[in-house]
Amino acid sequence: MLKVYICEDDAKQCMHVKSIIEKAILIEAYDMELVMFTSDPHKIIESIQNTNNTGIYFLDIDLKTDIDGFILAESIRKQDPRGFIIFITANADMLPLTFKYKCEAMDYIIKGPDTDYIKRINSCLQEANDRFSGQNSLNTKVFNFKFGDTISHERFDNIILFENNPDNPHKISMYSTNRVVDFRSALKEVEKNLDERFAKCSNRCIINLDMLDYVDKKGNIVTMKTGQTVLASTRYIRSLLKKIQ
Amino acid sequence: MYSIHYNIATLLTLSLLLISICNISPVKFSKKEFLGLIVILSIASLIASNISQYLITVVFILISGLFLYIKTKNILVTIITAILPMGFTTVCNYIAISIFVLFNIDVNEYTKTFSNYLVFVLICMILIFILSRIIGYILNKKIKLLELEILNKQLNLITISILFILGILYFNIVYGNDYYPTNKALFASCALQVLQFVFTLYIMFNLIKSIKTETEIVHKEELLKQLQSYTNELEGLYTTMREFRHDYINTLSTMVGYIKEKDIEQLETYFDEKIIPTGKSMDSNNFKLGSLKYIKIPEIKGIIATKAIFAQEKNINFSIEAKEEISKIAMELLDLGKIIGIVLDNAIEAAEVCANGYIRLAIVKKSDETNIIIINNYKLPIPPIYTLYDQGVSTKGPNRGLGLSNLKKILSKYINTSIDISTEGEEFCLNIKIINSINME
Repeated sequence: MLKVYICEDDAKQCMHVKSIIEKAILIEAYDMELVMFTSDPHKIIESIQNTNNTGIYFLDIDLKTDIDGFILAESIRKQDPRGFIIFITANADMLPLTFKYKCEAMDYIIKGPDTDYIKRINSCLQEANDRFSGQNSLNTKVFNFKFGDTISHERFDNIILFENNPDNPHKISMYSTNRVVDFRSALKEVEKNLDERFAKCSNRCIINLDMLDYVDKKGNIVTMKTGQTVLASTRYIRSLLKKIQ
Repeated sequence: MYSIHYNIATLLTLSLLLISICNISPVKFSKKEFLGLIVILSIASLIASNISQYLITVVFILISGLFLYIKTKNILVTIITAILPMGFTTVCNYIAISIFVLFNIDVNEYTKTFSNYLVFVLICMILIFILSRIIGYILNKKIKLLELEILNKQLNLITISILFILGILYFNIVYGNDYYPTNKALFASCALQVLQFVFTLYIMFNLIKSIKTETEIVHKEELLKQLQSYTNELEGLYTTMREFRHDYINTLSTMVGYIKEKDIEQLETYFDEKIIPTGKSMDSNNFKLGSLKYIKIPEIKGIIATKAIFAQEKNINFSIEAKEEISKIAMELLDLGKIIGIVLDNAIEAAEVCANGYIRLAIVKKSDETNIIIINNYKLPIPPIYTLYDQGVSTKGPNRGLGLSNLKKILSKYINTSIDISTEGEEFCLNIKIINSINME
């Protein structure tokens, strides 16, 4: 179960965010519970102390107390490294990218009458739910990998293939439908975290069979649904063909 | 019998030459490549030796040169690495001869038996190995051959001078040594030629060194120019602020006038027409470069400022975020500058065709790494993301996309970097992570 926390100094705003979240949990039947809404950041730090729960935290940045949302987020990270942090603020000038990337926040939502912030709160809840419960259901499973000092995610059904970086043997390139990531790893390590829809097509490459378009047996070329092609080796092509039949 | 001995000696010399190539080559050879080269070279030289003993050298240089060029794609490295070992061998040969002469041994007599010949070859080998190690160290660690950018004229000079020394040395070893009347004359000739070789090498290294300084100066000038344009921009900003302050007093007194006369209607139109636009212009471009002050690396500050100003001239909304001082990033500054330049160029190309083009750059320092994030919008449709790293693909048609493939090549040199590019709707997001600690193994 995911625990939801809200920290917002303006009582009216706080109730508003609370009502949006409660509605979403009810309608979508998320496995979540709103455990705290407060204007005091210390209460949140206190309540997550010595627990192993994963939480979703909606934080205002300007909290009008001794610590701001940024410091709060950092102390939450220490206690709950996998938690989902979402900043909500009325101030658009507060370095959104810095906040988002420094605390590995999921989103930085600017509230105001002409922003789509209700929609964005909802999609944050949706994504947190998918990622959290993702390991159980087939179409929301995610691949977690170490990207620098953070854990990054990609949904299995978005991934097209993994490939050894030809210029640096210590790096892996991951191609998904809208993303290309180069990170430090080995194909062996990657393989451990995948399921049966992935298969090797050569020593250098793992492909997602659901994304496979066709196999050219003569030229040893595998074409993916996105049009991307990779070289396959004869050794693996046979087992590959067996798997897709 | 003699021919077998002879062939063994040839093979030994070949593998030795190859080892010295490995010693001075800036790229490493795998075992497979090494063995493959030995096999190819020995077959080729055995065939060549049937035609002429001296053809082996030419064959050796051609084959190893071809191989090196395929591996490095760098003409200077190829020429130096393929040809220098031949020079070593000759020079070491001379040194060995000189040693023998010093001990009053007639080399031509001495090497007539095979075992003595082997001793002679062994001495040469040790000399070659040591010499190639030293020169390899100088070339790769001190001069960094692979990173040199050399103009064609200079390249030709270097090549020609190397070829000349080699020619002289080679001519002498083929025709010279047998005809010296006394050992002393032989010794003198050897010593002179060794000295000539050493001095020419010395001159060559100095030439390369001065070329290096020259390129550095060019880069410095570039940097200075960038900082200059940044300063100009700041001065412009200062002037705008002064004008604004001046206007501000005027504006206030006008408003005071309207208020005193209680002319609310006039006040309202004045407010709408004069004050609101000023507020908007305060919000726009010029005032978003403030965060640059946190970037303490002049090279990086310079390149970002130049690109930001360039983007703003194209009506792209460019914002920079930096919260803490950025004074060190674990990467060669030249490479880092190139990377940021490439990414921003690409972002500008993509954003300038959008109605509300924007670029957002952030440099975020975390406990153990630095993130460089660049986000821009682009006009749909964008080519499939996996093609973005390919040469010649970009969002702006063919021949524009050399950037991202270069970017990947540069980043691949570093084990401490990761890169994540993604698209979402009309937004392109690029995140480069550079881990600070170097001990990552």
